[in-house]
Amino acid sequence: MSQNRYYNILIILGFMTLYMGFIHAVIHKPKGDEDNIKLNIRDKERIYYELDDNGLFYKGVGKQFKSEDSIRIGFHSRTIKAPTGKKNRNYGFTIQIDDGEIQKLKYKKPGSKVTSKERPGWNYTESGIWSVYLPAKKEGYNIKIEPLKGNPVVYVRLTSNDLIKDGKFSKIIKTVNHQDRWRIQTQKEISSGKDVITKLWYYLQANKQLQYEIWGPTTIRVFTRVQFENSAAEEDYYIRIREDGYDLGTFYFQSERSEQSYVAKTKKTIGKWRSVWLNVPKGRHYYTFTLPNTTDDNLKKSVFIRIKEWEETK
Amino acid sequence: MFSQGMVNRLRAPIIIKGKFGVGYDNNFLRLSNKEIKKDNVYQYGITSTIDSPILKPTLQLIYSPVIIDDKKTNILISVSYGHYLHAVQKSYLISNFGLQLKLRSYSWIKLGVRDIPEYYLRKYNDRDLSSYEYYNCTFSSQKYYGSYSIPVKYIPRTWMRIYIDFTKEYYNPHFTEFDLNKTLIQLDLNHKSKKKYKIKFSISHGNAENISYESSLPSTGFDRSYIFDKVNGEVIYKVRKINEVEDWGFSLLLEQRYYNLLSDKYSINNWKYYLDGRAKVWVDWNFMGDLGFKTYYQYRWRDASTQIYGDFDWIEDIKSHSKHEFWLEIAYNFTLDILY
Repeated sequence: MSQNRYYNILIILGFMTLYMGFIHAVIHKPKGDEDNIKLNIRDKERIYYELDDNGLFYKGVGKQFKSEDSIRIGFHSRTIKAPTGKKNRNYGFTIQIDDGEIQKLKYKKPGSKVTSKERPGWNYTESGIWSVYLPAKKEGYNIKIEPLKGNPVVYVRLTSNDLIKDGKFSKIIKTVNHQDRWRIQTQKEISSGKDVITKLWYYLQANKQLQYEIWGPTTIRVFTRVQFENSAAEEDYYIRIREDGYDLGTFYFQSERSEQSYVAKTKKTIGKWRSVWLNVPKGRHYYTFTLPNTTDDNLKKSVFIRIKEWEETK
Repeated sequence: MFSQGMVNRLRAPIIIKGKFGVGYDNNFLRLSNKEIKKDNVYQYGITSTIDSPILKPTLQLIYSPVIIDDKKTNILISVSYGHYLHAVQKSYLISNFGLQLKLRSYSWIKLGVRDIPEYYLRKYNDRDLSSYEYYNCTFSSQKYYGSYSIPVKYIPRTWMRIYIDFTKEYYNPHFTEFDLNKTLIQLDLNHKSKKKYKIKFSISHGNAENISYESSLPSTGFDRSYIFDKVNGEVIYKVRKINEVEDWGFSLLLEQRYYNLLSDKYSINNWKYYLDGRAKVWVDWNFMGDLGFKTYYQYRWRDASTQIYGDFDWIEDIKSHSKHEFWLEIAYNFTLDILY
């Protein structure tokens, strides 16, 4: 194998790896020959497209990501500004995703240190950012951006990225009083009867509470599952979370029946897991989980909790 | 022809600053107490009352082409018109043209011309014609100025400025004996703290040369040249606790003038001395988004004195005066993108 061919294969393999597993953010280029400008933002060059009267049209936004992923589409916009003078500038535009509802976005932004070598003498405002969270789909999304009347010159940069956190779960967090945990069993393949995975979950019911001592700063993910008491296809439930006695919030979950999992002790079906991420501030903190009296029905629920600590990749 | 890059350097922002002032002056002709109380003030140019409301629109245009890389350049044009509702003849127009080049932080070179085509003082006797008849006394003023500022080493956010101007102040034909060429040199020291205040202190010295002295008219028989010194202090305090107030400030200006009054006509060694002052206090308001509001009050006064046994012992009564002014200014700035 010649050296050139060897390097070519390496490059192709590199791109394949990048495409298959490591794409996190994509900068999108609008269709057609649209004017753009290179802006110098904190010593980095970023391309923005001018939002002219015809607007900007983007095709296939997010198609680069796996269909089961959630993606974030970011609309970054700036307008021109004199380095001195009036503090803020107003501008706006409309966005339409596929054939959905047209949404109007309006901004009032102060100046910034962003400049462009192409247009000396001008500054660009701080970025107006609008994020849309959508499930990724194979053909991606078509997006139309159009200016509002009376706008100054507006520049837009469209990005998309998947919502996969960089990192891994480091450990399961146990309650302070080391309560007993219940087994929830999951069959790996439907109706095969083999390869059952068993996981331990804390049981939460009315008038009881689960308490955790967690050292921050860290991030935790609270997994929850509800036991199905009847043949309903869906169940919803509320969990109240307190941090050091103060309410963090009452979280609402809706889950569908799992075809693969059940509670080993009761043999009852369990719902698919739903989760919430929590950022634990620096120091030692106590987290309490209860079933609130939000609905009469909620107090009759049997909920299972499992908390994992997340370790971000640096 | 220009390349696109060069054209883009000229397609720069134009900032328009508009301001509208509404004021009140309780003694706009600067009459002395004696003149107000004992004389017929109408002979001095008063047409209705000695006080007057004033309207003062100002328009400033700042164009900032990029002529030199990394050096900010401003071209400024401004026009201001002061309209006295009780004395139209006192109304005046000021126009200004300036060039500014920023060399680095706190370092600027500024050059400019300021023109007042006609400024009405009041009515005086024309001593070349009659001691009884009063004539309008006006002058025109053209000022050419330049300044250079540099940061002061080792003291952060502090800069000094040297300022020089030359002013031609020429009177209407009845009063050409007062024609002056004035020069001034000024040194400023400025400091601003990170968040709270700005202070400015300046001293200046100038010379006004009476260019019509000893010309053919009898009234030019003594020299009306004078030297003057000014000292000015200013403090601006940023207000953080009251959302509606941006800042407030106070300034005090003192100026002394000394006239030697040289003459072959008079035997006595005449002189006269003016001490002028201006105290000003203001508040910049911040309660209407893009509109800027400023209110200020200023008190101006002059104490005149002369050689006790000289030929001008009347001036204390005539030249000393004081006045109060109250102002509300509304400002609006916007950027024109037409060249982008």
